[in-house]
Amino acid sequence: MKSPTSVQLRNALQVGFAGFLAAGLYELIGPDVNSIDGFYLVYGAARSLLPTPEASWVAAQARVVGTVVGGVVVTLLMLVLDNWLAVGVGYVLIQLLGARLGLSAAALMNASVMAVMLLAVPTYNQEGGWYVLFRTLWHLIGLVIGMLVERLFWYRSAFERLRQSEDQLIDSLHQCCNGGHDRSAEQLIEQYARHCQMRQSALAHREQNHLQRDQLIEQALRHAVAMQRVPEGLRMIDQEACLAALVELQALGRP
Amino acid sequence: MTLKRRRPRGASRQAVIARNGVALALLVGAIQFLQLPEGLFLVLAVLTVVESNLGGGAIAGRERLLGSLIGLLAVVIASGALQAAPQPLQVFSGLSLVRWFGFASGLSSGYVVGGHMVAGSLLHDTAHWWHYAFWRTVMTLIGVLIGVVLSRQIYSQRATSDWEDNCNHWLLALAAALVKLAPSASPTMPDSLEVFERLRDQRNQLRQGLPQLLAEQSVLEAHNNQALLRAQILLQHGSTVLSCVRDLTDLELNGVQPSSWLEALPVEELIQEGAQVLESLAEGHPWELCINKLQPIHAQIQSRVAEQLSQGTDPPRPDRTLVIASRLLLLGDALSELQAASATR
Repeated sequence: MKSPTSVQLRNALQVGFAGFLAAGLYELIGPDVNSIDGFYLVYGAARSLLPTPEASWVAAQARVVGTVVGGVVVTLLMLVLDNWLAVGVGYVLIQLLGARLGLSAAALMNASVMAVMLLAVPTYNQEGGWYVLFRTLWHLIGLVIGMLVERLFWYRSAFERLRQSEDQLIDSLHQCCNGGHDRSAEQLIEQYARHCQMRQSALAHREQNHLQRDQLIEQALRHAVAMQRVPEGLRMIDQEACLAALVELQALGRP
Repeated sequence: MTLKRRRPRGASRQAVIARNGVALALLVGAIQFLQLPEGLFLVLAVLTVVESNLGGGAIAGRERLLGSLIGLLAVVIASGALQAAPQPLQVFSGLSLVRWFGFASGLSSGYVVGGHMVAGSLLHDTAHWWHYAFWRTVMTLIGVLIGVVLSRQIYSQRATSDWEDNCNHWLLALAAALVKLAPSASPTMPDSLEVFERLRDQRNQLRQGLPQLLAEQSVLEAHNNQALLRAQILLQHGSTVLSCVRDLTDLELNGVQPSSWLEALPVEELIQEGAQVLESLAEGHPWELCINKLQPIHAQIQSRVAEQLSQGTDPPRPDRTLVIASRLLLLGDALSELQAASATR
């Protein structure tokens, strides 16, 4: 068992609050809401607030697109075949059509879930297209509530997170150069891989030319990793090169 | 783990889709015939596992099962301890607890399933929440087990094979980049930045695939983690080759002064043999790796560098020649390790 970080605890409170709002709305609309699957509101809230806002957005898109595509395919299929066999046929159709439409794996999964729900649960089967519509709409509202809560409390833009990741990476590189061997070459590479992932999502949302910074960080990292791999007598060369890259990076100032 | 030529994937993906379709239809027929309580969740659990390869499915199944268990725990607390509290407050505590437990148990996505368990129990099956939450968990457990057996026994798609295919591509690209370093090759690589960025991204993706290999090994043979160990060795030494080639490209190896002591080093041989090793690894010709031609080349470089260092200042004054020597040493070492690891299999 791990002890959750402060960011994770905040996330737990955020998702709880999004669920609180969704359940409040559910109560406000009235008792009849359950007959039209209103509880999916809270499903949507529970599905939001993933580790990053970008991940939440991608997952929300996959949920809505998958539900609609799967729902449409299976509702049409139910006009000609409506029993347990249709689950298999529906699944195959969704996979083939989804691949043709270029749907993501997550959207395909959601579409397949929709096929199972519609054909395996008699109540949903009777509702047919209405089930698809209500499920999609309630999910959508729940997901929007989740994304609003994400935006309102402790929000940090992708760019701020990139800056923090960069600071942490530079700190690790400094420690490495100054003889603090708390991170192995493999751990440094892993930290850099995470940073690259972060940079990819941050720069997709804010176009900035980070080329020079990126090159200097990569240069410093290569020397820090090499420092741990070259023979003792040659270590000094990489240490100096790593420090030089970090100094040059510092001279560029904050992004 | 054997490294083979890249195989066509289209046919096997279609077979897997057909397998999944048949399995889902039969399972839905069975749960309807047997009238299993909350049997829908058995089918959904199977679907979660069989959608991916065996390693990915094992991870997804674990996430779904643990998510259901912590969802059950959170529902018991929210419905039991906060019985008198208004529903939104129960949902608040239920969802918060699910995330908290999920993070504590190291889940990366299973807490979403736990949240659904809370929503379904507190809002949909309010009167029979215990029946719903309990049977949903039991059915998920059975579904995950069925999914793993299915994924392992019929048209099994292995994470190891996918990983190997990607690794082979990476090794071949690495060999191509290495060959361009040779003094006899053309002196410039105009698109080198993009090439190295692509190689680095491929390496990072291979690293991300390691947990799937681990999960797959745990499903196949709990005591045998050969594939994972080999993957780690390939990644570690392949990464070193990558960074050396990257550095040597920047250092313009083919522009070394004729008078430099580096001229005497067997650089061309190291590069040609190294590229051969990488290609043999990628193309699955391990017998070619049994003849160790790299070791004497590497030893020659080692002794020349040691000799040079003993003649110079202490500590050595950093210059371009020494940096090149350092990278050639690292390169030789990593390539020898790759060769040795593959030849002793």
